[in-house]
Amino acid sequence: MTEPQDTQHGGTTGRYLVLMEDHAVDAGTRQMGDVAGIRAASNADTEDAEVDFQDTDGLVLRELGIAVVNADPDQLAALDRAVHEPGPLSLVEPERRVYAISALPADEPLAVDESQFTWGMQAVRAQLSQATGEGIRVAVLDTGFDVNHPDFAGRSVTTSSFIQGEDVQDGHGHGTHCIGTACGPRDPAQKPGYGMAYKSEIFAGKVLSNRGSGTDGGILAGIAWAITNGCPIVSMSLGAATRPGDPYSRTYESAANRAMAQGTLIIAAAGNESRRQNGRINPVGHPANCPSIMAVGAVDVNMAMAWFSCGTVDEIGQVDIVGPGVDVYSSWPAPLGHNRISGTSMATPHVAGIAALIAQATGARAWELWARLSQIARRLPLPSTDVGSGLVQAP
Amino acid sequence: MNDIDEPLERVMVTLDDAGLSRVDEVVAELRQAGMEVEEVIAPVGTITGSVPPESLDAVQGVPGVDFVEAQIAAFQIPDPDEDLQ
Repeated sequence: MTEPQDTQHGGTTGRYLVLMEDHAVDAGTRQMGDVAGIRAASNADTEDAEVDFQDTDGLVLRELGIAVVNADPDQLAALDRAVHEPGPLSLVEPERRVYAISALPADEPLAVDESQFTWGMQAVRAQLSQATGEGIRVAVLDTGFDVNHPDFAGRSVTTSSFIQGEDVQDGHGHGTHCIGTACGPRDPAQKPGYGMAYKSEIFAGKVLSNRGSGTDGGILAGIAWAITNGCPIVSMSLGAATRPGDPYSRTYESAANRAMAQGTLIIAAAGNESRRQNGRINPVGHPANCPSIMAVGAVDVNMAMAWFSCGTVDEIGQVDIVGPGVDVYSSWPAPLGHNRISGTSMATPHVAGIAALIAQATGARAWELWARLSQIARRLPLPSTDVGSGLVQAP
Repeated sequence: MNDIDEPLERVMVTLDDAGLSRVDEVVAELRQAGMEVEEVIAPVGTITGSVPPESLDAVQGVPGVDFVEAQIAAFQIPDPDEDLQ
């Protein structure tokens, strides 16, 4: 069993779970008293599962054949001996603390020091990477870009608007935020640093209007623009919700394959439609559900799933990788300058920026770039249906 | 030929590689078949536009066309002041 010194750490409560053999609850309860002096109340004697652990040593959950008990080190050792001998007690293990996924209040201070770098940059270890993204063109298809943002002075920026009647200037903010994460500065005048590929060439394609809306035609035109301009990476923090069983778009799958054949990897947000605090996991949205588009989910600073992050529901339409997507600080159009928001939209440019670092460091493109992103991703103790190969990591 | 069973207006016509190699001819034939062509997005092999429902079979049947899909409902991200984007 777990060493006693571990019990105050790693999300345990300091109490223990004692598992009893089948049909041996009464005998097991007696034996806990006999060998360890533990007197536990039975939930048959109480109104509900609430029990005051100040007054008793524990609670026996009769239906489960499990007791939750307080035990000092001597008592724990006695219980441990008893489970290793024939008898009604079969297992002792530390009680773990469990949380509702949304239990962390949004305004709780971050557990990571962000005075120099955002938590997201630290989580993907971009601040430690020698790679800069120099020479790599990153296309971000979104609401455009605040082309006058002071954090991007002197940067190579190429723009195109696919929205009729609107220039590329970002009248929303979403696009400027995403470009900031993928391509923004690592060492801005005003800390923290927040950009992954801070010397990459920015290609800002406006495919969502200032009101945040777009169409398939505009998005496909943006992808084509990125391919024509030799961008190895397309970041798309956009999507439309799907229902379980919905087929993926053959048009986008074909487009993604043709993009791959021309050296361009498309990375897209998995979507924000899950409500994990209610037990609901929604499928990956369109077009991230296409097999040849890399779908990005979101984790928070504690490496827990973001409550909104879409998951793998069908045989196709899987989450491929995750990035930091809760309380993400990045650039925003004037007058705000910077903003902190959440979404798989924010996780996606982390992956796109890291893809640019890998593309620069290794020369990898297309499927090889996908493979390297997956191969060096940090494995997480979470379902692969939620996180794919894990948390994206800088080379 | 036609795997679409409901009327559409705005469509995405994706060409096969043979069709893509002679895209100008295919576009002309799509127009003849009744498609109002909006944009030829050659690098991804897709042509956007509108088709009257009665012309769908003809569009689908143009040599070089791989498949036809409806344009999916508009994409929409939240307003700028929302925390969840």
